[in-house]
Amino acid sequence: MKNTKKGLFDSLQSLPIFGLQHQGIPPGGGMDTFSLQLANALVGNDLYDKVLEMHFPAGVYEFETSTLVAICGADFSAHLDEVPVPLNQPIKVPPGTILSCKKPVSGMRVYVATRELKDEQVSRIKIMPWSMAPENVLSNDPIRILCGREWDHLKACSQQTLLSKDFAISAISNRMGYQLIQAPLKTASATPLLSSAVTAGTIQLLPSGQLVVLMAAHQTTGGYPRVAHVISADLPRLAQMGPKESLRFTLTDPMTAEYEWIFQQNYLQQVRNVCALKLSQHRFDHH
Amino acid sequence: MKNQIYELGDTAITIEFGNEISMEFHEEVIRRFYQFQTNPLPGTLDLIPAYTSLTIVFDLGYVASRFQGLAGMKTLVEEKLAEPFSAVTPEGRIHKIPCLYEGPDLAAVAVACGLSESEIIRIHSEKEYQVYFLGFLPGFAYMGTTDERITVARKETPVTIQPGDIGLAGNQTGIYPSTSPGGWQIIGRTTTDLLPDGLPLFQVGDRVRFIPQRS
Repeated sequence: MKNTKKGLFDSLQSLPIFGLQHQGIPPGGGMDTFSLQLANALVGNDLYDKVLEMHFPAGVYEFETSTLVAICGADFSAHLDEVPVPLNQPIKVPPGTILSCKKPVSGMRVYVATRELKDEQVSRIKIMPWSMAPENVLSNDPIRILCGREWDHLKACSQQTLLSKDFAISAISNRMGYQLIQAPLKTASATPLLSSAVTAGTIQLLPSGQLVVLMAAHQTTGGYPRVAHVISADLPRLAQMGPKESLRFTLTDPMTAEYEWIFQQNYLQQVRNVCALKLSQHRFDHH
Repeated sequence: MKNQIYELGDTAITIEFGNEISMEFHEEVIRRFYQFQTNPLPGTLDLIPAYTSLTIVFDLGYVASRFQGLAGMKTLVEEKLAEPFSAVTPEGRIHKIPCLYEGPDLAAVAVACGLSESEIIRIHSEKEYQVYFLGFLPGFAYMGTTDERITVARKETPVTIQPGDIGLAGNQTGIYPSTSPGGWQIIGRTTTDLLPDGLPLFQVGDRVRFIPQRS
C-alpha cells in the first residue's frame, strides 16, 4: 500500500510489545486493540500483525498489488475508488485501487488490515459476502472501572461524582492519555506518593482535581494517585471516544473484568478461524 | 513495614516494600526484581521496579484462564515472597558521566538554595548516585538521593529539554536521554549517549558519578 496523501496521525500499530518497561520503554501499540485484531482476523492475518491506524483526516493510499483488505473501528465513510464500502467486511481489491476516508461519522480511529493475494489476480473490487458485526461484544454501557490503590484519596462526595456524573473528554487528549473535564474532585488525603508503575487504563488524579486516563502510549511510571482503572475489555471502546463526547464510569469487579476480556479474545479467535475457513472455501469455489 | 501487595487494574500486581525512598527498601526491590526475572511467574509480561515497589504485569487472558486471574497470581506472589530465594543479584555498574555545568537553570538553582554556582557543582558532583529505576522516557534514570542542600522544586511550567541535559527535582537527579518537555531544573549537560544502539545505558542497580568538565 502506497501513501499518496498524508493523514494527520497515520501510523502502523500492532498489539502492545511488553518486556522492556523496566528500561522505561512503554509497550505502546494500537489504541483500539479490538478493532485492530478484528481487521486482522477478517483478512486471515495473525491477530497481532501490524495494521494501519488512522485518525481523521486520514491519509489516502493506493494498493500496489491484488490485496484483501478489512476496515474496522471508526466510521470515516471509507471509500475504495470513490465507492463507499462497508466496515467489518473483507474486500478484494485490484492493483491501483485508491482508499480514502471522506468524513468522520463516528469513532476516533480506523484500522486497515491488508493481506497481499500472491496467487490471485483481482480484476475488480469485490466485497466478500460475509461480515462480522461486533455489537454483541462491545456495548454502549458506561465504562467499567476497578477501584485503584488511592481510591480513598477521593472524598466520598467525589467518589460519588466519579460514579454518577458525565465526564467530557478534553481536546488535548491523545494516544498517551485522555484528560477528563468535570468540576474538580476533592481529595481527602494529600499524602505525596512515590512514583511507581502505571498501566493502560490507570485513572490518575491530578493536583488540579481533574482526572486523566492513561492510554496506549502511556509512560511506564507515574506519581499521581491512582484512583481507579478502566478494565482492559473497555479500553477499545474508550479509544473510540473523542473530544466533545462524554462518558460515565461504573464500578465493576475483577471477575467481570477477566470474564469480559476472555469473551472478547475468544470472539476474535473465532472470527479469525471462521474467516480463514471462508476465505479458503471462497478461493476454491472460484478456481 | 510489612509488604503490601495489591492489584493494579486487571493486568498487574504491585508489591510495595516501603513508603519512603531508602536503600534498604530499594535493595529489596532489586533483589525481588532479579528473583522474578530469573524465575518468572506464569504469564509475566513485564517487571517494573520503582523506588520502593515492584510491579508485575501479566497476560490477562493467560492468568484468567489458567490461574484464577490476578487473585490467583496474588497468592503465588505471596508464596514466592515467603520463600528464600537464590537469584543472583548482579553487581551494578558504575558510570562516570562527564558533565559541563552550564545549564540554563544553574544560576536560579544557586539563588534558590542560597549557595554559589560552584558550591552547587561541588555538592552535585561529589556524591555517587543510585539508579533507582527507569521511567518517564525510554532510558530516563531516576537517580538519588541528592544532598539536601541542593533540593529544589520542579518548574511550574515544563519547557523543552534537550538530550544530555542534567536536571534536579526534589532530592532526585537525572539526565534526559531525548528531547522532551520537562519540569526539572537543568544545571548541566553531558555528551554521553544514554541510548547507545537504542538501548538504555543505565540499568536499575547501577551507580552514577558526575565528573565536572571545563568548557
